[in-house]
Formats: sequence, C-alpha cells, structure tokens
Amino acid sequence: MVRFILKRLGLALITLWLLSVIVFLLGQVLPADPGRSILGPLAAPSAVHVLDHQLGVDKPVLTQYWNWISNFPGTSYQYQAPIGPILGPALLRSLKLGIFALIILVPLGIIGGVVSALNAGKPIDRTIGIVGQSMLTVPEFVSGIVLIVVFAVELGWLPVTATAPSGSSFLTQLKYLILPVIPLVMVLFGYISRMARVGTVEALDSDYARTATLKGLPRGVVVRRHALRNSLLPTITVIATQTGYLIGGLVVVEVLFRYNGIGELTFNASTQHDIPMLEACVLTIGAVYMLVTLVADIGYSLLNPRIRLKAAE
Amino acid sequence: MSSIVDIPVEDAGALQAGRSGVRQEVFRQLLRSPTFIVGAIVLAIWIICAIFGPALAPHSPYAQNLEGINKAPSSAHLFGTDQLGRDMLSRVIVGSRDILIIAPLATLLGTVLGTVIGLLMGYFRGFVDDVLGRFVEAFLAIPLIVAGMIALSTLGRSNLVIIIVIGLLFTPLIARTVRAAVLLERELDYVAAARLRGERAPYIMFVEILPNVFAPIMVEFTVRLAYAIFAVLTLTYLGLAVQPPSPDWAVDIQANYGVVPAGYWWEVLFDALAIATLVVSISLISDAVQKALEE
Amino acid sequence: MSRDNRELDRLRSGRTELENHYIDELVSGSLSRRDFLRRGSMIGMSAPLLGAILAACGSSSKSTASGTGTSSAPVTRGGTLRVAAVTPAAAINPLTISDAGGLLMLNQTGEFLIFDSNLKLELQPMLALSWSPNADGSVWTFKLRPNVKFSNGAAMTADDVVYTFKQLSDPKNASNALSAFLGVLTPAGVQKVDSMTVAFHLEAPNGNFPYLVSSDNYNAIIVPANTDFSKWQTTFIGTGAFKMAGYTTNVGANFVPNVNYWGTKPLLDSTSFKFYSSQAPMILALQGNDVDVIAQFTPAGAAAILNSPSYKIIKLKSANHRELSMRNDQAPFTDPRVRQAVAYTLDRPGAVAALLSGDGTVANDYPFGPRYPSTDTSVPQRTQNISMAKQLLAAAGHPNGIGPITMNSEIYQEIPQLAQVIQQDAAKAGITIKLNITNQTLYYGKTFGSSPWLDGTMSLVDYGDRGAPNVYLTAPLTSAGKWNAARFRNKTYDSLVKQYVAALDLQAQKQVAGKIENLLLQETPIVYPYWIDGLTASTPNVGGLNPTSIAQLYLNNAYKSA
Repeated sequence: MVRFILKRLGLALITLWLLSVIVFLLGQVLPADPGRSILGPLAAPSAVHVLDHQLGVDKPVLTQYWNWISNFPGTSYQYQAPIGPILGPALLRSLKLGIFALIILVPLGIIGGVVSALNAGKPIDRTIGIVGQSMLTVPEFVSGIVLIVVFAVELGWLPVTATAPSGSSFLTQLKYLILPVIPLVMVLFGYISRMARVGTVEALDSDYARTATLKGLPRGVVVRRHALRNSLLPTITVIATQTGYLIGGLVVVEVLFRYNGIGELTFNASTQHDIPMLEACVLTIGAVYMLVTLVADIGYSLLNPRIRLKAAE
Repeated sequence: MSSIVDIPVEDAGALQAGRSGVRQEVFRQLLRSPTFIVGAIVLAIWIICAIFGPALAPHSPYAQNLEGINKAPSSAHLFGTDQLGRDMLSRVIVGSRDILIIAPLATLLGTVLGTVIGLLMGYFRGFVDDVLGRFVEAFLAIPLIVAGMIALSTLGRSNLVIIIVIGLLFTPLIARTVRAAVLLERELDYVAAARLRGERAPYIMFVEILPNVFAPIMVEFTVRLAYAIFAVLTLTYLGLAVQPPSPDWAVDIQANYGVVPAGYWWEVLFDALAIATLVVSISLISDAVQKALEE
Repeated sequence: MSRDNRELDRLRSGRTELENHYIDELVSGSLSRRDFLRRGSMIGMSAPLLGAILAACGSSSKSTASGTGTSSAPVTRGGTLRVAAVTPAAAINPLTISDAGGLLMLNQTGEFLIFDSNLKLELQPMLALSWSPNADGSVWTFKLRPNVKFSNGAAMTADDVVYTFKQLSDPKNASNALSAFLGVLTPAGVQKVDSMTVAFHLEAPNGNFPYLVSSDNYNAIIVPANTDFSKWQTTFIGTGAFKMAGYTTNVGANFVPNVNYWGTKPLLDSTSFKFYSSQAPMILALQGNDVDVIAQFTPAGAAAILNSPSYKIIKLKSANHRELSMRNDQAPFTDPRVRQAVAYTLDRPGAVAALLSGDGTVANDYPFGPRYPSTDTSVPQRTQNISMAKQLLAAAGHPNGIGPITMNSEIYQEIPQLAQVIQQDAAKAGITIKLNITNQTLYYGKTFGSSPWLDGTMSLVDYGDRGAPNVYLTAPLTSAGKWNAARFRNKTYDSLVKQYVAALDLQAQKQVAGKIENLLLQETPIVYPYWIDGLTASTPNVGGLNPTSIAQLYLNNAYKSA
C-alpha cells in the first residue's frame, strides 16, 4: 500500500513540474505588456516603458523562469505586492465553496443515481436523467442571477452575496454559501447521478448481488451492502476530474456573488496580463487537482481491492 | 455505459436469428424506440432551423427597432424583443446554426486526437504511456477559463479558435477512456494473432483494435457533445465567441442575462430552453444507440 | 426679481478686467448663468461673490443640477455607509492609477488644489484658496489654504505641492498624469514662491490650466514631500476628511474620519467600500440591501434600478462619450463625403433612448458638448438622413455602397450594442460593416501598428469624462496626436486648436470653437454618437453624496438615516 502511494506521489510531482513549465510557457506566449495594462491605454508610451522595465519584463526567459520558481509564488505585476497573501485566502474561499458544493452534490447525485438504477426503465428513471441533462446546460450566470433575483431580492430569504461579514460564525458563513452552491450542484448533478446509476446497475447485475437476493436478503440490504460501494467508485473518479472546475472554474459564480475566490483571481490576472499571478494561480489549482486525484486514487483502490493488489505487483 | 432508459422489447420477431446484418438490426431497434424517435425529431427540428433558418424566421434576426425594445412576448413577437428591438423568435431559430457547427466540430476534433493518443498510450504502454500520461494529466489540470483567456489573447476571437480550444481540452478526457478500452482489447487473441502475422504497430492499432473500441468512442462523443455546448457558453462569457450581431444562443444569453433583474426574462429563457432541448435530444439519441448496440 | 444696478456696480469695482468682462457678458445675456459660474470660478472668483453678482442680476441661486441630488431623508449623524465600487485594477499608486476603481480610492483620503464640482457646475477652492493667471495665461499662481494637516498630523505647505507636481509631470516617471502634462508643464516649471504660494510656468499659454490641477486630473492629489508613491497604498496619506482604516486587495476598503481634517467633520462614523468585478452583482447588491450606494454605473443593464422608484439616482451631465474613427488615409475614407455619409446614417436620438435609457445627450460630430461653456451652440445638429448619405456616396463615386469594412471595437458597457446599431443604420445606405469586437486589453493593444483601436479602418472606442475638451481636441485629432486613430492631418485644424488652448477669454474660446466645429463637421474624421450621463444610485435613506462624472465620490457630507 505504501509503495502504491509513494509511486503515485512521485508521478504527481513530475506532472506538477511539467505543469509549471507549460504554464510558464503559456505565460510567455501571452502578449505581455503589464506596464500598459496597469497604466491603461491612454498613458504615455514613455511611462509604460519605465514601468515595464521596473517590472523586469525584458529579462531573458530562463532567468525569468528561475526567478519565478525560486521565489514562488512571487510578486504580482498589477498589485505590486506579494502574491502569497492574496492567493492564500482566495484559495481557501474557493475550497470552502467547492467542498460545500460536494457535500450537497455527492449524496444528491448518488441518491439520484441509485433511485434511477433501482427503477431502471420507469418514468422516474427517465425524469431524473432528463432533468440532470437539462440542468447542466444552464450556464451558472443564468441560474445564479435568477436565483439571486428570486430568493435574495424578491423574497429576501437569503443574502445577495456569498461573502459573509468578517467574523461571522460558521453557520452564518454557510447561509451565505447556499445560493452560490446551487448553480454548481445543477451543473454537476447530471454527471454524478449518471455515473452512480451506471455503477449501481452493474453492481445489481453482478453475481454476488444476485446471489444475495436469491438468498433472501431484502433489497435494501443488498443495495446498501453491495451496490452502494460500487456506485461510489465512478463517483469518486468524477469528483476528481471535476476538481479543476470546482476550484478554478468558478469565476462566473464568484463574480456574480462577489466572492473573492481563486477563479476570479485567475480571470482578472489573465485579462490584465498579470503573468506571475496567472501562473501562480494555475499552478496552485493544478496542485490541488493532483492532490485530489491522488486521494481519489487511494480511495478507489481501498474500495476496490483488485486494483490495489494488481498495482503492488 | 448503460443507457438511462430500458426499452422493453415487444416484438420478439426483431430478435429472430437469421436476419441479415447487425447494422440493420440496430437500425430497426432504433426506429422502435420512443426515446430515439423523440430525440431524433427534436434534433431534426434544430438541424432544419440551422439550415433553413432565414427562410423560416418570421422576421430578420438582425432587424433592429429602437422604439420597440425589451417588449414581452406578444402575438406580434412570440418570444418578445431584445435590447435592440430584434425579434427573439427569429433569433432563436437562426441562432441554431453556429452552435450546431461549432459544438460537433470541437467534439470531433477532441475525439480524433483523443483516440489517437489513447491508442498510443494503451497499445504501447510502458514508457510511451508514462510520458504521454504525464502530459495528459498536466493538461487536465488547466481550467477551461484559463485556456480560453490565453487562446483569446494570443489567437484572437473566431469560431476556429473556439473549436480548437474545446477540442484540445477534451482530448485528455477522451484519451483516458480510449486508453482504458485499448488496454482491455490488446490482451485478446486477435491482437496476438496479428502480431504473429508480422503486422506492424500502426496497422494493429488502427485497423484491428480501433473498430472494436468504436462503441465506447461513440458514447464518449455524444457525452462530450453536451459538454462542448456547455464549454461554448462558458467561453462566450469570457468574450471568446462568435462576433455580434450573430443570434447565436450563447451570445444572446451572455448579452442579455444582465437584464433578467429588470424583469426581461424572455430574453434569456427561450435561448436556454433551446440549448436544453438540443442537449436532451442528443442524449436521448445516444442512449438509444448505446442500448441498441448492446443487444 | 429685477436687476439691481447699484449693487452690481458696487460688486464690479475692484474686479479685474477679465472678471468685469464676464459680468458684462452675463448682463448682456451672451453668457448663461451656469457658464458664468463656471468661468468665474475658474479664474478664481469666490462662490459668495459669484452668488452676489447673480443675485444682483436677478437670477435665483438654486443649483440646477439635474436629478435628485437634494434629499428628503433627515440628516443623521453616525452609521457606516456601504458603497459598491469597481475593483481597482492595479496597486493604489497615485502616480500610476488609471482605472475607475483606483481613482475612486484616491479621492477618499486625498485632495486636490481645486475641486471640479459637477453638482454645482463650478470650480471650487479645495487646497488652493485662490488662483490667477498672468496676462497671457502662461503662468498660473496658486495661493494655498493655510492650517491644512495631513492625516499623520504634519502640516501641508508649498513644498508638498511642488513635490507632488514635479513627480506627476516628470517624463522619467511612469506617471499617468503625463497624458495631461506632456507639452504643458515640466518639473522645472513647478516653482515655490513662498510657503503658501506655488507658481506654474507653462510651456505655452493655456486658458484651461486650472482644470489640470483640479480633481479632473484624478492623479493630482497632494501628498507629503518625498513620499514613495509605490508605498502609498499602505498609508493612503492625504489631507482629506477620511483616513484609511484598512485596504484589502481585490476585496474592499474601509475609511474613518480624519481628526486632523481642516474642514467640517464628516457625519458618518465610517465608510466601507466593497469591490465588484462587474456591474450586475452591484445592482443586485443594492436591491438586496447589501450596499447603500453604487458609486457609479452605466445605464446598460441597469434597468432594474433605473425603472424602480425605490432608489435615488443622481444624474450628472458628463463628457463621457464614444468615438467612431475612420482611417482618413485609407480608401474609401480618404474622401470626406464618404465619412459624412456614415455620419448621416446614424439615428442618434434612437441610440440614446435605447442604449442609455435616455440618460445621455445627442452629440454632434465634434468634441464640444453640453458640458462645456465654450461650445458654440449655433452650429446645427446633424440628424439621420439616409437619402443624403446615399447621395454623398454616389457623388464620391460609390453609387452601389461600400464595404465590407471591418470595425474594431471592445467589450465594454454598451459599446458592443452601439456597434450593432451603427452597423444596422449604415446598412440602410449601402455601407456594409463587419464587426470585430474583442476584449479591452486586446483592443487597445500597444501603439500605432499593433493596436486594433488605433489601426482599424473603423474603430469605436470609449472616452472618459474630462472637465475641459482640450484632450479630446488634441490627442485624437491633431497631426501629432498620440491617439489619432483617424490619421487626421489638417494644418488649419492644428492651428485652430492652438488658438483655442491659448485663449483665456470665454468669448474668444467660443469663437474658435465655432470654427473648429464647422471644420470638423465638414471633414468628419470621427463620428460622435452621444454624451453619456454619469449615474450614481443609492437607497432613499442616504443623502449628501457628492459624485463627479469621472467616477469620484466625495463622502464628506454624506449621511445615512436609519
């Protein structure tokens, strides 16, 4: 087991390094004129020149890469301040939102999938499927704005923003996160319930499940003891692959609900050509993604002994 | 992957042995399945709109009327008018064109590239698999938003760029699925037989293995198609989209969502419904096809 | 009320020649009440004096600012005002700030020599008590307000003012104010006369110079001598009514009253600014009671609050506008008739109604508008005339229309929709336009040769508000202008602009303006669709807001009742 983990960790680190190079190169490819971005289009070219030089844009590429890596996370062009203190809290906020979304999404998705599988072919199955599919096509900014208008402005039940006042209790913070979580759940529900359904159907079809039913065990027990574990497997895979979206792709929700997360930070950095910030954000999201994938892999192998044993050979 | 609906087979005759050709079999199954029919009809409607849009639309989707802006649905304008007084119904009809071109092409690009990479990784395994695998993982970690912004800044704003960005972003996901399927296939007898015959690797991959992994690839294609449409919407939000005054659904949703708080719900609802029905029709079709292929 | 000649004569004695000149114009009616206020305040006449003259001339002294600036809520002390503002795009460095979010931060704690008031339409003394030009307007001398302290308790003197302007006008600095000062003022020209007096020796006579040291030049807040501008964000040091209590990049800022302030203590206990990346959440926040004020917003997408009676909207006449430039050096726009044809296709009133919800004014094809008293309003307004456009095209050798021509533009506020309106209108005369709209950073590009904005055959760009039209006259239109996207090279125009800039006298300015207006109508290098009002919104229980049309917001007298 330990060998398995170490091997995966090693691979992940290599991938992370590769990502840093890719991200850096992408940053170089961007038309970088941070001086112009900061001073705006109407500033005198001489002023822009001076600022660019101050920011060190004209140094050779390898020097810049090395500077960046050794000083990670570095200094932001546009904010002229260390990136760490800005990135850290932003990442934490995005993680809170993402995890909260998962807490609601996973049980909901699994229930949806299991119910579909248990009633395969019946109207409820079809309905859950279609509902899941159509919800995913509603972009977050549309569902978000409708939710805010209905529940926050008109009815006044929930706050209009996702940012709770500083010093709020944990429960209050959750209250603020309820509305923004809904668009995320809507987007991912269809995918998760579908995967859960697949896993459950396969498990129900499997020999041991049939044997258990034949032995006279009630359906519920069969489902809980055998099928549920298998419906979890593909779900874990889905969660891992969607992490990138859940952490770094939340720009839309973060902007609409005024939630200063890493998604919004990344988006601003790319529009402003703040290369150091952009690179730091993408690399951070990538690192989180790899961590989650690693955990998912371990979880997967714990649930499915065959993989663990095979990998250890 | 199983389908989301199970169609009870009513006509046992369809399963009679002796009927010629698996394909005919599949086709007949499809025609009997309500899921397929509903999906196909809806999709056909949109395809007809995409091709014959301008002829079908009651007004020109571009004709502005600055005196009649933001009007709610009425008998004159069944879907209401938008912020420049243009007829929403006409825009929805004609707007099907771009998305029906971009989404499939992007998915196709991703599928083709993903298949090639998946084949390489699955067949050769070992070093090739490890190296390609690292790249695949790294690219998976890049969020769509970032890739979109970078593409927009460097390549500019055009349909081609959108297709490339989405296609490239789907490649790793599809590569993974294909790789898993190829890993299973390569252990089968016919591959060993081909090797014994002295066939070279490209032949084995593309002529022998590929046709047998076609089914999961098809499934991936249809699933990815829905996400391609979602990706187009996200990229449109970033500004990487078709140029105005295109009545493209994504462009209109992005341009009009800000007026929803003012109560002009019709400027977004019909486009969103159009997208939803398109995606649902595609998945209905794909489910029916999967089901038919399984039998 | 009739004119009180005796009082008027009394007020006249002791006035300078220029001041008397303005009084003459006011009396004869060639200067409106509003313009008199502006011109008078600009050359340093005090508000009480101006008011007395107006009273003697028989006009009322109520403010004519449109909108609901006067409040019905009772004045209350205390409370925290929550303001929604655009996220500052960069570090808060007074030298380099160029975006709306950033400059809003500057004016919370910083003050200028002069305040350009949009609500009262006049220049008001702020850190300078009075100012006056020499005979030809090449030297302007400012007397500073005494007993002013920075928020750290240090006294403000001429040394601080001299340091500030030397830095702002130094070409070796990455200073955003250079766009105002290059060619007008050099560091050597900023001279201390005594501890309370500063003189500016200009490169050339400039009748509108006070605007350049006013709040209009939003970088020009006075800081202590030897301040490191790049660290200003950590202290926000200034002479203003508030001082900074906290600033978190990307998130927000808080301010509390400055105990060392020279003026009246603010009514509020504190102000809290929340940053938003786009307008939609700001509007929702106001509706959802998460903020009390939206510092500045555009009509596009704001129908929810504009159409609702539950919010107070302050409208300011501003010079915020859009410019559609055409490459005068490229076919088919080498012929002025073709350019005029484009101008004749546009339905300007329709655009104002549809795109701005009526919160704007139709513009004529030159940069003089209702905000500027020097505008010669006798020049006829161009209106939509499709048949005229077709005739012009035919006369220029294009009977079957022209195109497709690509128009570059940006995703910014209502501009994409304006582009579509222009496209549709132009099509009516046979002019086919293809749109190429990208995000702002890409559109602006770098400079000539690598900028869709400056290089496009047609290009539609935004121009923010300014207190005097000088920048609009020079940068986009003079032969050496650095934003001359139209490549307009006209020697007559260049010399007219020189005359305008040097003119001290309003009548002289108006005369030259008239000539410029007619020339530009004739040549039409650029089409100007409309002027956009500056809008600020608040809940009904808020009052005393003092916004400017360049997105500043003064909260000295603001209050919030329960």
